[in-house]
Amino acid sequence: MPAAIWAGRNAHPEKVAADIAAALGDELGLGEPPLAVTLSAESAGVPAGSLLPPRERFSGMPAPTRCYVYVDAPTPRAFELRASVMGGRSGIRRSLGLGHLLYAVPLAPRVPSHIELGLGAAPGSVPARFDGDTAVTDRLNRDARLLDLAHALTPATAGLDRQYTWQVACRLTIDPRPDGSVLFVQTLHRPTSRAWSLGAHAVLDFAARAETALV
Amino acid sequence: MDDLLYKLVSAVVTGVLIALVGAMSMAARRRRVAREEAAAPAPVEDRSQILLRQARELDDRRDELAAQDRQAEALAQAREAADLWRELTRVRPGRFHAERRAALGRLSELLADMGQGDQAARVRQEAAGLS
Repeated sequence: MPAAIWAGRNAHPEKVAADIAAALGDELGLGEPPLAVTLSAESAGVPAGSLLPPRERFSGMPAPTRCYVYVDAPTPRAFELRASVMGGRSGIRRSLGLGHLLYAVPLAPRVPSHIELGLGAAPGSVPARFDGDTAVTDRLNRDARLLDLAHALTPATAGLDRQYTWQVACRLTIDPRPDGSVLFVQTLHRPTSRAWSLGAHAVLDFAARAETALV
Repeated sequence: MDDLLYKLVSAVVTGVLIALVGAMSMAARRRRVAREEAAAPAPVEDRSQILLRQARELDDRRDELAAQDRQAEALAQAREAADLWRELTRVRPGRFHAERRAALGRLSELLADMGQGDQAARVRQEAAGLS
């Protein structure tokens, strides 16, 4: 997975945060990039007012986490992103690379209880479906496009290349809130023809479709 | 034929070895990182969370003191609360404007009650300037 890697003189958190903000601005067609701040590796990763859960104590990644980049964007719709930034070496140079991306998107419709994308069986068998309150999950599972989007957003394998891969936890949940619900999506960045993508457009697209299905 | 078979087997064995080394390398790295994460101290609360908690406590204390007709003390708490909400909106841009506006509103009321009309007007102007 080629990558979002910052090596040598570019390997500092402020540069990573600026590039993440710029990438989000480009992906979402924003006039100005959203505000991105860095949080230390020791931080719980939850600024005041954030919907994100505290970061996991064990990342499951093969490189240590050096910091987090937190984005709180009000447009095109409100969402938050916490990106973990791993540290390592690129050849002999110190480098930083993108790890997990955790999105939180508030949704207007309220769900009665926790909904999650169930773990899929082995490749080639029945794909994963939404688990939870039957009245809600029936509506979500009826939307084939929604399920396809969900599967595309939650890869189970990450890696530097075909030889060096590791399993990553899939996470796509919708949790109730007093004034609606919140969608959590944990995903990874994807290579593009020129650089890399944070998948923000796909996440917001999924959120919009899920809202339509939940109404 | 033997030569071709030899090359095929060599290629397969080499591929398997490379994949095996890669998998072992990743597993070893993950274990090392997990050990480091287990040894690390518990995650630290973000500074903005501390500011938020303190600002809310000061708001509550201000209102308690005002209800007990202890205006001077309530005013002191209101000033501190307003400072914290200002700091919080600086640390978390785009957030907590309503809370800051409310805190400034209470501060201006207390200032007016204590006969400090000019300051109260300035604070009201600051509150009105918040979008």
